[in-house]
Amino acid sequence: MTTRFKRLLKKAGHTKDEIFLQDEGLPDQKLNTSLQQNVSLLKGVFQNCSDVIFRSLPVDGEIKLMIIYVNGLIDANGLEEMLLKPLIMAGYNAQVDKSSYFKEIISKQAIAIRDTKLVDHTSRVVEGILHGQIALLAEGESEALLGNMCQFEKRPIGEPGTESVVRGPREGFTESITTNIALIRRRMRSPKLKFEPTTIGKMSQTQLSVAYIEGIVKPEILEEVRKRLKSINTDAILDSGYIEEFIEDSPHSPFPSIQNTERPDVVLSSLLEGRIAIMVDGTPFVLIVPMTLWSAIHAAEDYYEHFIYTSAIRLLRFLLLSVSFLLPSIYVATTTFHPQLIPESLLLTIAAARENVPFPTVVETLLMEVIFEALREAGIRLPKPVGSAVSMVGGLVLGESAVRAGVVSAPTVIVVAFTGIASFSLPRYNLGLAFRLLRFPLLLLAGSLGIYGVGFGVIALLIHLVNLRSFGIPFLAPVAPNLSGTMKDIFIRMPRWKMNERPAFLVSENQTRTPKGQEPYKSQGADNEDVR
Amino acid sequence: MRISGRQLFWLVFSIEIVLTMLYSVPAAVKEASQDAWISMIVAGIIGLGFVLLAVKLSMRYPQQTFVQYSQTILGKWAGRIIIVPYFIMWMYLNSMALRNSADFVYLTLFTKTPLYVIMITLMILVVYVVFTGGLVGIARCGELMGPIILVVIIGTCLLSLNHLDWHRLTPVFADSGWTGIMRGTIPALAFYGDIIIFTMIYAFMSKPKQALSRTMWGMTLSAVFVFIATLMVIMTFGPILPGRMWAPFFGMTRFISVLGFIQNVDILVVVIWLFSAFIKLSLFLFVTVYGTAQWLNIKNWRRLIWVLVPLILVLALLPQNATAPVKEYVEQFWIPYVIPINVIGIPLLLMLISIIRSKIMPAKRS
Repeated sequence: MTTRFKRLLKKAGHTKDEIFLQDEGLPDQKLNTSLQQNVSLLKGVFQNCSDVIFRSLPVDGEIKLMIIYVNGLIDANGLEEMLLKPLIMAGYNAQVDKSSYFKEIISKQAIAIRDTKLVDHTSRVVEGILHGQIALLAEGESEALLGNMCQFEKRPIGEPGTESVVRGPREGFTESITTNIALIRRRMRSPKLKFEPTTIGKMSQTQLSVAYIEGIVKPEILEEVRKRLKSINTDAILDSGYIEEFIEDSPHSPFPSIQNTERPDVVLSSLLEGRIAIMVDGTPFVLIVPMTLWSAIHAAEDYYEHFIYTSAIRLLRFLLLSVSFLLPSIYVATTTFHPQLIPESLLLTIAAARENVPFPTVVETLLMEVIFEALREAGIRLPKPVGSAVSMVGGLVLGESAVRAGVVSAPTVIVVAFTGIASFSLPRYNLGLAFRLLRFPLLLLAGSLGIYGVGFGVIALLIHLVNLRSFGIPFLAPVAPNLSGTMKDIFIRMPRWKMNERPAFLVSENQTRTPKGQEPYKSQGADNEDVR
Repeated sequence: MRISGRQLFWLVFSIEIVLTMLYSVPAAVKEASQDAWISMIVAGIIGLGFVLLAVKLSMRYPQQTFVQYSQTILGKWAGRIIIVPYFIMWMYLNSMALRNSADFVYLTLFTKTPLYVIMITLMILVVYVVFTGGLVGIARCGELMGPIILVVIIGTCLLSLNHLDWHRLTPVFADSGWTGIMRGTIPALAFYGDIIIFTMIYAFMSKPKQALSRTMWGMTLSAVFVFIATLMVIMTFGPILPGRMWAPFFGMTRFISVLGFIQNVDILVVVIWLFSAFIKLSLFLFVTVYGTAQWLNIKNWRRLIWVLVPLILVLALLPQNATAPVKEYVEQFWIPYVIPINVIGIPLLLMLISIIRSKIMPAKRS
């Protein structure tokens, strides 16, 4: 059966390839010396593309030079100042032999553009123009000059929306990969930091860049990343999420095996731990592999604040992670099946609050959870001006009135609200999503089997997590399998001068990060006395 | 499939501790009354002897499982026949551990839910981990759950400290004497005998040299906590009552009350117990399935799960009541047959033959 399936797949892949080739349909032939022929060929390619501008420079009534570019993708001022002006001036200079002058410009690349190249195929010219380059074609010249004057409207560098910090750098990535690469390079002035470019997407021709630090990254993980990227065959990549779905390890798991971030400092600190970043043009979200579950409780700020405070916050986040997953089901299990677990006075309060509620606890909790998720979803989707209305209706009508009317009990509202807050406190949104989703089946288990059902769900989740991998690295590493010496930065964070080594399971060589013996007090050799 | 020394330690610990702590105490107290804690020390030492035998034998063939090296030592046919009692033991262990766990959950948490629902749900988890993760999955689960089990046991011990009365331990040695104390070791030894299944596991060690120390440490830690649990049970309930109780350590946790707020933590103990039972069941199932596959020369060991699991479920439903698997079956089958034959007899025999063969072989060659 499996072989038949494979054969079918192969067939499907084959036909797909052919469709793509037809779709592209670019004429791939050498340019000839006749400008008119070349231009008509290109005009045929760019038929009905109103954004492609053909600017001709006629001399004595005859077109001798053609400039082609995409409007809005190039630096218009620069084009006028650096290219058109000198060319036109030269055109009026009687001493210049125009036809040979234009040919010379092209063959000698004599224009004031920083990045130029000569090409002799129409497909190259088309590709260049679409990437924001200026193409110059001259009469009698069988080569075209491509000049990179790429410039387009982009968002200024702003604070990342998904990962804000109180203390730490506030720059976030933008949609332009060039800017993003520069943001990383500016923080890391070492030639060991590499950016390997690739292009994915038959039609979108999206630029990707695989960033890593040579000598720190494990070659086998890097090779795996390259291999998986190479195997992607699709028409367009509009966000790094497209790439993520193609290269993740267990596509059917609710848990992400690839981390994403908007922060250059997060990317760099991951690279320094031997991870690999995949940057995609057109999105501020950079992918980081391999990912482990513990990144769910690690925020960028952890490394900028004091380590004792950070360690405490991490423990809090771990607690909140468990709360976001377990609290509603434990509430349902205890109130429905094991009321003896709740201290008497608290139990009395809960029982009094639930007296008039018509639903069983599990139904009531499910209902409130669904309402909460609806509010959350509406909060993201709604147009901004309506936002206050939603929070009014959600907060007051649904919360306050429902409790007062006796439709739901106040403890349930408290539990659901706390669960919601807890699930948003995780620094990794996509991991929070997985836990938020899984608390619904767990709630049903708790409603049917009580605390045993909760235990069942937790064990099943652990089995699933233990089996997950991200690019060959176990998802729960370094806790299970336990890799000693790498626990300094998981549940707590040791001070910088104590984290002497990079995590061994991610790094190939060059393990030492900070040489030992830099503890401030000791290395200064001060004795324990006040300054007098 | 490779497991590390640390994983082995947590596996040994989580398998040996909870069941022994709950079920061996009443039987020991019945035999040795207030001196049962001495029995537990002796049982721990003998348990370490079991470990020494199992590890030393396995380490003569560090790359082979028990099924494989028994054939290396005895030859193809004798080696295979000798696995028959082990196959019976594996099936028995699997079904009885399942029955024990399900009974415990049933008696503590449920009243109307049928027993087989608990058994089937437990088996779903076990099959899930054995099928998808194999030994590596079980070992990693053990690594995650073992520390939690340890922390909860320490926690319940600490919280019960205020009920203890030292005078209940006296008079020491006067009432029972050596015979009573020695007889009191047997129930705990019955549980420590489980260690023999690790002869199937050592072949998967990434560093076989760690096998002895890690198993020893796991066993020692379990024995220490069983000893502490026995002491505490006697100091809480006196020398007579625990012998009549079903699981006195669990009963003891019901007395915990801190500030009138932390009460009835016994349900937490049940959840921890579930962790331990899960590790135990999955390791047993893995050993049974993998061992049977090697025994019958079946390449795809995972397929055997679908044959053996229904069998285990049926066997687990056979005992009439909850005390039979922990009492009568242990007394009539496990102690008179399995311990002397499977745990001590055959391994010793194999060890002897192996030593003799290794001494004769080089002599022949020269």
